[in-house]
Amino acid sequence: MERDYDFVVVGAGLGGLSAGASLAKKGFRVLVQDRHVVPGGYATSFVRGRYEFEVSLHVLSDIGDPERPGGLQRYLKDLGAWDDVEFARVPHFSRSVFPGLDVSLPMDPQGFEQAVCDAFPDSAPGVRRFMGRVMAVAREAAGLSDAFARPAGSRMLRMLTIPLRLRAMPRYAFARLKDVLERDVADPGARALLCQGWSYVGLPPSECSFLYYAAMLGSLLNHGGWYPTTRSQGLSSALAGALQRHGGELRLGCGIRRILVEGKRVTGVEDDDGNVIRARAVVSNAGPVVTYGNLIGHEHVPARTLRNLERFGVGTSIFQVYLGVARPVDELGLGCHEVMANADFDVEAHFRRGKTFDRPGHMLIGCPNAAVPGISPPGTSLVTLTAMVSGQPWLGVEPRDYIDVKTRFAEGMLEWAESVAPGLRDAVEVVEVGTPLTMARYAGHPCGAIYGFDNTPLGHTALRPPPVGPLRGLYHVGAWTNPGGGYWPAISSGQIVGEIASAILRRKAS
Amino acid sequence: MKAEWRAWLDDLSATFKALWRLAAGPPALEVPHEALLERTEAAVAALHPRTMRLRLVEVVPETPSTKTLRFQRTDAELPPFRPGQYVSLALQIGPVATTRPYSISSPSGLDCIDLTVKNNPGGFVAPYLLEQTPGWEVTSSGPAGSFVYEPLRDRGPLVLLAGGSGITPFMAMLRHFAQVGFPAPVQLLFGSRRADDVIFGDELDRLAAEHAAFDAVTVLSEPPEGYAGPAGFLDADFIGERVGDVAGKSFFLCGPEAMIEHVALALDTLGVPAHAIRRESFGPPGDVAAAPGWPAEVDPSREFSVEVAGHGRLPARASEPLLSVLERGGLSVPSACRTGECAECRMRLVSGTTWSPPDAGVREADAAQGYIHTCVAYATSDVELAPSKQVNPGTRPPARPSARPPDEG
Repeated sequence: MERDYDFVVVGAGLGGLSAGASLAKKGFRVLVQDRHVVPGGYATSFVRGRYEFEVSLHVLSDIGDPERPGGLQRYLKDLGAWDDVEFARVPHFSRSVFPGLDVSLPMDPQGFEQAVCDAFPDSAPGVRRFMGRVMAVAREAAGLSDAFARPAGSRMLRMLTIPLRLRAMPRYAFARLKDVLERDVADPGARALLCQGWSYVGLPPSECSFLYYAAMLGSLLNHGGWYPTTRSQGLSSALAGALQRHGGELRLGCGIRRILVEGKRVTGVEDDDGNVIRARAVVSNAGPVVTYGNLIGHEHVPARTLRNLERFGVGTSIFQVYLGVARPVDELGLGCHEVMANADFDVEAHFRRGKTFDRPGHMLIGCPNAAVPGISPPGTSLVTLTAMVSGQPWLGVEPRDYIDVKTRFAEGMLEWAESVAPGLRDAVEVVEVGTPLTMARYAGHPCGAIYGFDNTPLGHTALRPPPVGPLRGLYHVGAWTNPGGGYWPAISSGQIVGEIASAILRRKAS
Repeated sequence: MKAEWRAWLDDLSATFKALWRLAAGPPALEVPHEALLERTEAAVAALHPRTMRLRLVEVVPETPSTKTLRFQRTDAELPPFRPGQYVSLALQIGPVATTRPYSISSPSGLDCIDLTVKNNPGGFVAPYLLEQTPGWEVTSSGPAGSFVYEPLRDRGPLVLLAGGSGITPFMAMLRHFAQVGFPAPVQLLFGSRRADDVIFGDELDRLAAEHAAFDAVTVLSEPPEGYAGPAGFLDADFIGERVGDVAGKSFFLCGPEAMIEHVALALDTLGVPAHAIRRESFGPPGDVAAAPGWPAEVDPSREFSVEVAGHGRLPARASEPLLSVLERGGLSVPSACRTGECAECRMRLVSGTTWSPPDAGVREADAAQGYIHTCVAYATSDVELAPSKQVNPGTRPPARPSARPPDEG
């Protein structure tokens, strides 16, 4: 059969771009196609007036110093994309504000631990125990990604001997963050501080996988936090550039409406303009729910695969208020690129409140100027207010009420932000509000989910839907699949599929 | 130590419980994924349709040169929009496929939308639109644009400064306020040319009479003999006298590019901080060579050639936006806002040089890779462009380069 490409990648999100670049570098003929006009999926930016806003990134993990590179740095170098994007180091994990408590948490393991101990001296022994577990998981997770980065021969050996070297990961594989945290730490304040990063994984301690949380927190503390000076768009564009440099094609502004199936194998795609594109394999960045429901059709998907998907809950979304502020960052008194504001110490209640239209209990006040001073014009700042919310309630909002509902919700967040950064509101020049429906509009995910399926003890990393799909020649990348949601996980999903798919295709070709 | 043993046991039992649950199969979902996806797509489509099919149902004459075109949507219900937003019409005029954004002049929540169009004799699009009659159908974008009254930001009195057909987005705002109540004192300073040019004059008078919070002043630049009202331009003296204290007020500017520049300077003189000024200009600058930053060595009437991969060469005057050049050349290029903000017409500059105003809306990462927004990019040498997607060649032969670029009017 005449084929146009070896691989067609559906969607130019981080996973799709990464898979495309990786496969193109291996010499395959690759097309990455997306309905949006700019590549990156959620990893993008938008311009309003004299401000360019970051859509989704708070901090990037796994970059690391040149002498101690993280997995993402090594991967970007491998793709030849490292020099196309510049990263600034973020000194703090967060400045966390609670009633009666205001703590800056440094972005390194010792500093972070010490700051929590200083705030809650009585809990110090338990805090150290807990952080010991976190860092143990992170070390093993880093070992996995190291093994992956090795040359093929030694990689195989590494991979095979992995089970012998893993201690913490198997032990905590099915543990909830709450189980581990409450065992070690009794003080609700210290607990709240230790799980301040819950919004980076989208679930509160009672539902979140400890392993996933620990890998996220530990890798940030280990390799530091980083921010691309041209925002996440710089990272996406670097991946897109690598794809094109290695001979891959990127086609934007035209979505894929169908993945073509013959029998039990995929044969190509049909795009929104009606073009049929034949390929040996299709990599879907759309997530299994959209891929099976809209692109393939359930009749072609094995019942077992569909049934298995029911193990996973559709994950959380966000409500965002993007502010262009005509006041320099130091006058706003935020003091950190990420202020985490908390109504009280009850993280569980904060998550539950995200399922209502009540004012959130936990809010991130992000200000990238604290990391990249020149990221907005002189004398101005970019400020983004973020609350974790469930997309489901937003599906029921009547269209005619939508603007009022979102304005009221944003108003509550702005009032709160004003109390943390007095004078903020009077200097606001540009406002854009993004709801879960905005996320869904641009990325097409059910409920505007941002991390794919929930990262529960039964739904994280290896337990997620596998990268190799149920039809021959079908692969999944992105937050919904393995390893999960977040920047580096989404990018590494593309790296993983690049390795697996090329091995399978090569084998068949030979 | 004992506690750690107990912890080990806890983790082990959690593992067994989890494996048991995995073996038992998934519990029934509260709402199936499919249903969530369907509901999500329906909710998004109701708010943000990618395209809308519109039928002209009524043409309302406003002034000798201006008509309101009233449209109903035929393929679904109209989505809600913010007063001040626009829709972009996708038009096929002779051999040229082009788009044109028009501010909606009616408020949200009705079963129709009004686009108020001022004629531009010798223009390209306006005369075409004004000759349409009820029954005519056209495809548009969904409502878009950020030139809106934003209660999260605009918390003090509003000062609306309009020139000519720049009144249209303000009309949507005022009609919206008339429905839901004025959120704060609103003052409109409206510059028109002649007395018979004043669009919505009667309705503005009526709104001002009915609502204590609203005040409208019309200024004529060419007043008739014996005209009693204010005459001249919206200059610093006039604005200062009418508006008084500028602190805490939001200023909205809409009209021709030249008027906007003029008024923005006046506001600066009056001490209005830049962040309190919101502006919307209609289309690209009339005289691009007069724009700040235009490379002086390039004669705006100079002709360059533009090459789009696979579509041959097209002649391009330096003063004509590249998007118009491509459209006139018979190519169908995606576009919507024609001010740079929406990025639909983004392309990569493969070779050559272009000029764009500083507010062209190009992302930093894009600029570093040579991307431009063709609607506000001008050739300053021969250029070669790579579209993000293959552009569709028009079905008809390319038009002869005309004296009038499609962007005028």
